[in-house]
Amino acid sequence: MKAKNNSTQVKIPENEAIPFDLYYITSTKKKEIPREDFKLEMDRYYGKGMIMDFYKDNSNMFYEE
Amino acid sequence: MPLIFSQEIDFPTNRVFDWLSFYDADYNKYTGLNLKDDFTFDDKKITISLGGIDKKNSIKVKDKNLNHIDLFPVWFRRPNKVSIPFTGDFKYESTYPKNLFSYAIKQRNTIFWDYLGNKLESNNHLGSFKTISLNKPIVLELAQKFGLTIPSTLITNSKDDLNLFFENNNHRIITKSIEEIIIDHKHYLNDEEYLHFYQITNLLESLDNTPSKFAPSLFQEYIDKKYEIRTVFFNNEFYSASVFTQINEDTKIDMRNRKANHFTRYMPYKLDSEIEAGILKLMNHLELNFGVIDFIKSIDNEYYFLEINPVGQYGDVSLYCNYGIHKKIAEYLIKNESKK
Repeated sequence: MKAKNNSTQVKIPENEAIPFDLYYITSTKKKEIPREDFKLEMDRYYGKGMIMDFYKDNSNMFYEE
Repeated sequence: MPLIFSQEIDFPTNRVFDWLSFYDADYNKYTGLNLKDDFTFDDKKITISLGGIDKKNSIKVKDKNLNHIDLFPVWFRRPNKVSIPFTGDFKYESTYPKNLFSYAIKQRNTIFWDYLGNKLESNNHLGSFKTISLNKPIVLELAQKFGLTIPSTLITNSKDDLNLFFENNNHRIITKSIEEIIIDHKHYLNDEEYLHFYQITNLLESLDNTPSKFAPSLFQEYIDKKYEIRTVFFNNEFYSASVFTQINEDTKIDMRNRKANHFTRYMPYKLDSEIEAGILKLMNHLELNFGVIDFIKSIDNEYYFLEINPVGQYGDVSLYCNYGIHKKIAEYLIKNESKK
């Protein structure tokens, strides 16, 4: 039931000053969305109520007409 | 003219701007970072006069009198805690450490921003300048006091106590931040790829290979959920949505852990009146007129209060449940202006 986020654990040193949850910082490798595409999508979705997801790596918004 | 304190980029803020534009209403946005703002200063002349026999108080920026700001409705959507008023650098030669000196400057220079934020809280306002984050243990305790059920919670730096808590909760507990989650960070590997650092709530099904030494941290029992509930509290009204996070394996523990194009199902929801009454008492106690509140509805049909975010995202609830909260906020700001 563990969350599958394709992430790797970040190495945090064990120390009395570091809260437990910070040992669970995760990192995921992602691809940068070209700035021009980003702006195009912002323009396309602007004013439609909500802009979401186009920045996520598995979004197909950039490839659909 | 509504004054809106928000971040540089915040989509719900922009949707409210859309509605203000629709109604031909003027507005001003302040981020605390834009040096052209009235409320930040770089090379601007700023004068605040207080007291005296005639008790004549005034605020002037660039000789422009800002006293009329008392008249404006304010939306503290996501106010920055500090402004960055100065960009200039200077040569520093002293044996008093520069970092301490810089700290002293920063503290002093944010007083104006703080003064204005606090002053504007006496206007008709939505949200809070002072309270943009809450102390989780305090809120959990208050929620319990006002009749809400909270998950069994442990705050400890003792591995022994954590082990006992783990045993008592069927070897399934969650760890999440006692404060806010970490600030997201992008570490660029090259021009196209980066590592995205972030934090979500984690389920612990084993304490093997976990740290033996740690600072006081928050742990809660894992509750088997039927669904989650996200409630937007605004202007003494409740706008709730049931969020079906248990359908998708990724969102079972933390609803934010959702892939693009895998939408979570939301439905409009009406909380029980006793729960709403408890929340109302809690919000009044915290002097908040806006907040996004998270609950769990367990498979045993029990409501568990999780937390309040005074600057939480509400766009999902508004959009999926057709509540039109952006429009209502714009109308609230316009209505409060016309009252003056």
